[in-house]
Amino acid sequence: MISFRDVVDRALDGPITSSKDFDLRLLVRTVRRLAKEYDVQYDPETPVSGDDELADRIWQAGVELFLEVGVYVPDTERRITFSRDEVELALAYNRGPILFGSGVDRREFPLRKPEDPTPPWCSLGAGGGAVSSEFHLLSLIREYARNPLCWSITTPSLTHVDGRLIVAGSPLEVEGSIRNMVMGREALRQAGRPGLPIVNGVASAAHASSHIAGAGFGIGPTDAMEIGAHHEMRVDFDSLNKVAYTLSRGSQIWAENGVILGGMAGGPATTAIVTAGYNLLDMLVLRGSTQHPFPIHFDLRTTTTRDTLWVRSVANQAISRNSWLPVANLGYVGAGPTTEMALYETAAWVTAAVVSGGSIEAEGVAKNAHVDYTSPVEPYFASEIAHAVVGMRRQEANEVVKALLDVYEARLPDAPIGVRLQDCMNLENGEITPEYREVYSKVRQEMTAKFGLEFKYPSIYL
Amino acid sequence: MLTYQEITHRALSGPIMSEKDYDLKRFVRTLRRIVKKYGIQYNPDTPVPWQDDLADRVWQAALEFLSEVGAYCVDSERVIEFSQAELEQALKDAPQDVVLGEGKDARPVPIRKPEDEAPPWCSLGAAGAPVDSDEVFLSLMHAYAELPYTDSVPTPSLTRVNGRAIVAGSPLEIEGCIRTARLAKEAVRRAGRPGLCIANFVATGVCAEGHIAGHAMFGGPGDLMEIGAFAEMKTNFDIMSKVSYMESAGCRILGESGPVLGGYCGGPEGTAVTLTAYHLFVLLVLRASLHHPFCVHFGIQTSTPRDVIWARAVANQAITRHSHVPCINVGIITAGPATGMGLYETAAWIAATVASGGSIEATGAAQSTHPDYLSPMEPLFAAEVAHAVAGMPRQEVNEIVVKLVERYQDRLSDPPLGKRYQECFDLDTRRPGREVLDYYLQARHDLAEMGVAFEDEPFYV
Repeated sequence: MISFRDVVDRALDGPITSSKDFDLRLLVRTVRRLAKEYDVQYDPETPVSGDDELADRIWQAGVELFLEVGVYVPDTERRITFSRDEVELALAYNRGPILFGSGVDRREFPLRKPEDPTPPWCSLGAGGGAVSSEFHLLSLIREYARNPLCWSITTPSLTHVDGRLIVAGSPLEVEGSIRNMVMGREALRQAGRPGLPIVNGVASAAHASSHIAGAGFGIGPTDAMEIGAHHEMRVDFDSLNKVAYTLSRGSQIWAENGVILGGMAGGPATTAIVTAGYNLLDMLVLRGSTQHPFPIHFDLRTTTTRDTLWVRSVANQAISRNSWLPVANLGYVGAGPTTEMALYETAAWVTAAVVSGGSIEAEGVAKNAHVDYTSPVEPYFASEIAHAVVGMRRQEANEVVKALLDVYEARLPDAPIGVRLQDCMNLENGEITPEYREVYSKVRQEMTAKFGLEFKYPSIYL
Repeated sequence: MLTYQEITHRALSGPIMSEKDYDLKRFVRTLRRIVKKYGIQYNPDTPVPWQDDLADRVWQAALEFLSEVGAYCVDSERVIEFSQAELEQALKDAPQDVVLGEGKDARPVPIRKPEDEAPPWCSLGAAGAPVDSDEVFLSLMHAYAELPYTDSVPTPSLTRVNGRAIVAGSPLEIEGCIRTARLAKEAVRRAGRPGLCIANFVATGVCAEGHIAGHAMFGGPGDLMEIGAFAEMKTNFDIMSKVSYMESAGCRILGESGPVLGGYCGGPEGTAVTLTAYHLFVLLVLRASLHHPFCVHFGIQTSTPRDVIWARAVANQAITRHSHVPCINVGIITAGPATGMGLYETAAWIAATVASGGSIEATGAAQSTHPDYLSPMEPLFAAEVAHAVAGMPRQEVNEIVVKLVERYQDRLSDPPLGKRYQECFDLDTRRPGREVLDYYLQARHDLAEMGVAFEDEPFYV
């Protein structure tokens, strides 16, 4: 596979293009044309598609998009471009097993296909959701780790250090990032799972300097830095610097892309193509060990709308049928903790992702937009669903997801925010309130009663 | 001492002021008034003054000056203010008995006073001057670490990675920083001194992420991260982020400050007061264990004109008479290697500094602006002079410095560039060529005639 050094050279020497031209003349025009050429069409009746041919056409269109458009570097106003041979060589690269974690928590990340009977990787936590104090962070991570289905942790991010709001770029960001890792590691030790990998190093960091500083206090070779592209098909020096450091350090990378449905990526058909194209960006430019996508609705800011579910479903199928770089899907639900709706949304996106060949990272709650509106219950429930739908036929999953959409879809523009962590869980011992337990119990039972889902393990919350 | 948390708090909530207002209305006006109030006057006949009273007045002026102007945070456009009591407390609580290096290479940094007989700390190397290749970097570093007087090594900075010019802020900077750290450690290992302190982690770094990446990969507890203020009395989030990281990493900081003579500091008097005030700035804002002062002439970008030497000498005397925190002075000379002139410039600023109570870091050559135009000869000669003048009366040193300055001052605006390291030294043996050796022997001879008694025989002969 082409070296990272070559990628950096191209970031500095590639064809010059203005930002506007890249977006409007190159990206938008090309992806629209490719959607037509490869006959990629969205069908709202199949939020979980069962069409292998469609998946393969989306993959081909994603490859063509990547080859034609390349990756834009705003710092140099240049494009990193690749030849077809280079892409084919990268896809043929024999990377070997993808391992995370240490000691008893060392595991191999599964390379799944659609309808695969292999259980998905369940990375559980807040997906970077914001919490106001380090003690919230500690309690939450300790709770995530209580779940035996939890194979890696996605930590929350801190908004405050010693009560003071973190200002991005200031020394408070560095301190917040270091504290994020120190407390995260301590929480895992307290939970008796010190080797559990943290895969979103470093959630509290906005800049490379803080990412790198924080990584020194808790990200080892069996953990992962989460490094993202920008919308769409863009990577800046800050992200490339994180990659450069992480490669030298020998840690791994979860390469994140939040394609915006309704933005430059256009509608569902083109968003699916862009998401597939990101697989190559993540492999070649961000040097990921996983692709970490979350196609998100531009207006509702969730990944649980009907069209974003379709995008996720077909993109996962496209990628998992054609690439060795596995997908760790991240989800954001609209509703907040203690609401039934959040659990229905969770069940919908997790089902769509898992039967389409993906693994999961669950999850951002209340759109991850409200401080402390998060809890360990939704990620827990996500892992239960993920294991329960393993091996399910896509057509069957489609019916489940449609039924779930019928329950919550109309309420997405005005989703209930729920309650804060400290109002629904005892921070000391992790006990949730009786009301919350009742909500969780009801929805869990419905999953079995309505859809026949069988949960393999008794719940720690019942 | 005020905590770093409190400094950060003040950087985010101190009085708002535009940078221009801070520079012109606050800094310049206050400095002019205070210089006058304390009767501080430059005398070109005494580049190395010997009046303790002058040094003490400069110290008092600096304390009052910093308590009035504070430090400026460019990103928040706020002033970090300090009371005089806070400044005095910072001095009391400042790190004591600093030991650098590890294992058999660990050494305490001497706390010197003017005319002190204790040999100064000699940090010998490139002081961040640029080199173009890994090969030159390794050979130079190996050569510095072999010098008999070397207490620590300041590395060069790399300008290229695999032949490609490093673009600041890009991944090439990260790679350059990591490589700098790796090569530096490898070079001191080859010299048989694996615990030798690297004094300027990470020279190739421009942005915080480069510095932190290089340090996180290979920095040890016996090394120093060099973190600087910028002219004058300013910091920014990038600098503060490095400090924040180092506070957590538990390693020591070399707090660098380089006031510009002819800039906002004005003349030599204002520059001396500012340089002295920086001593407290580096303790509080940069959380330094050691002060790393230099001053530089705005026109000829060097530390060796007569007025710059005076400002540094006075400031060192002011600081070392009142503070237990050592000053490891760094200097920039104008002439390049294999010129002769570079050795006389080196001798001048080193002698003035050591007699004034300072320790030294020597040295980049050719204004530290031409890649590969540096050699181990200037640092070696600097250390030999430094050891020889330790304990000499300032008045005697003044006479030597006057003679040295007269020898080169007319050529400062058009100095000879000299030769690149690989042109005047053997990269493999790290031995000088005949021409360089002759300049070195001649300079030793000339200095001896001026009254400098060298301790040892010439190293390279």
